[in-house]
Amino acid sequence: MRQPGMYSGMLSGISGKTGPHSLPLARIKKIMKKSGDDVKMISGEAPIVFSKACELFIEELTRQSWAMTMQGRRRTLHKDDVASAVAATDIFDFLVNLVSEPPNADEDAPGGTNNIEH
Amino acid sequence: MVPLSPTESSLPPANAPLPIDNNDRKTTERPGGGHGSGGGGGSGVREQDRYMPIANVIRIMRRILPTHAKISDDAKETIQECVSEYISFITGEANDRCQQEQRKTITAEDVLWAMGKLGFDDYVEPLTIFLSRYREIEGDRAGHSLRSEAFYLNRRGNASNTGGMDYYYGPPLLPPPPPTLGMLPPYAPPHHQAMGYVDPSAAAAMGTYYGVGSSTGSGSSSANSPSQANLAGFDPFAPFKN
Repeated sequence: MRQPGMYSGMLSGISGKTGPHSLPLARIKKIMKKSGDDVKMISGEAPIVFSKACELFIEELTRQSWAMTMQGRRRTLHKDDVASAVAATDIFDFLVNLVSEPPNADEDAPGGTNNIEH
Repeated sequence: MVPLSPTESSLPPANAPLPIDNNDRKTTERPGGGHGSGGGGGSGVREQDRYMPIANVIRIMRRILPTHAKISDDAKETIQECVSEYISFITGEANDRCQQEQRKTITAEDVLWAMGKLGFDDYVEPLTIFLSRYREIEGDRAGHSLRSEAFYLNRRGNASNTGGMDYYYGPPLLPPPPPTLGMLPPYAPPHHQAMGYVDPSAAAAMGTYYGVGSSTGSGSSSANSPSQANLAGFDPFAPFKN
């Protein structure tokens, strides 16, 4: 499923913190701290691991979502595709609520399920 | 874009019909505006603190997608939210482990462990490699290529004293601060061998430090042979060449 060399370039940006385009470490740390009241201290290396992990995560989620887009013979990746990808992939189970419930009930789908259309 | 900017703070009053308002809406359009209000839980937390920058997320998505692919705005926002959820999910598990073991600091190893436990086994190996490369390079930057382990132990000790929140990004190729030298193990690695792996220009830049090191202990070269072997295949200065 994964293309060869998927991780081959992953260390290229390591010079200079973790690279010019990597995700911001301070932001990662804030999100980590926010994930629980009892999160006390965070090693400086933990956000660095996350900066790369999030890249892998985004890539994988995008890849699965795009597969859904392709199944629907479309060219635009929609939120529904992300929702379908989450539903179809075990390790994304923790995202099910996030992608299936509309964040604003008054906005797009009062019924609560807005992820099937087209 | 910055919530505290004058334009934005003057937004709630009566300027609503102005075009400026629309522009501001667009920049804050996403979870912050869209569901910061609905989510409510983010009270007081700025949107920019809760999500990865959208540009970075899109850039990473584009690596995967074919060039003709389009991404709808709601898909971008959803992925953005998913990333934060992912961080929280993993961190929560890592934090549980820390609490069970009565530790206060979430380490990189805790994070990796949590990923393995929560089904992201595939990430563990590449991330472990990533982390060890990072450590080696960071160690080299401080001139400690052959003592990275002891060096990191020392760092850890310092880290806990200072609250453990520092990143320790030293400027590249800077000799280590003098206090660290005092904490080195009694033996010193054979620095003249180390030079074999070092780019000549870099070696020149670090000459000061290595001069000190070799004078303190050119004696035991056998003590460090394992670390020598580990380094044999890895050029720590590759990123700095050319």
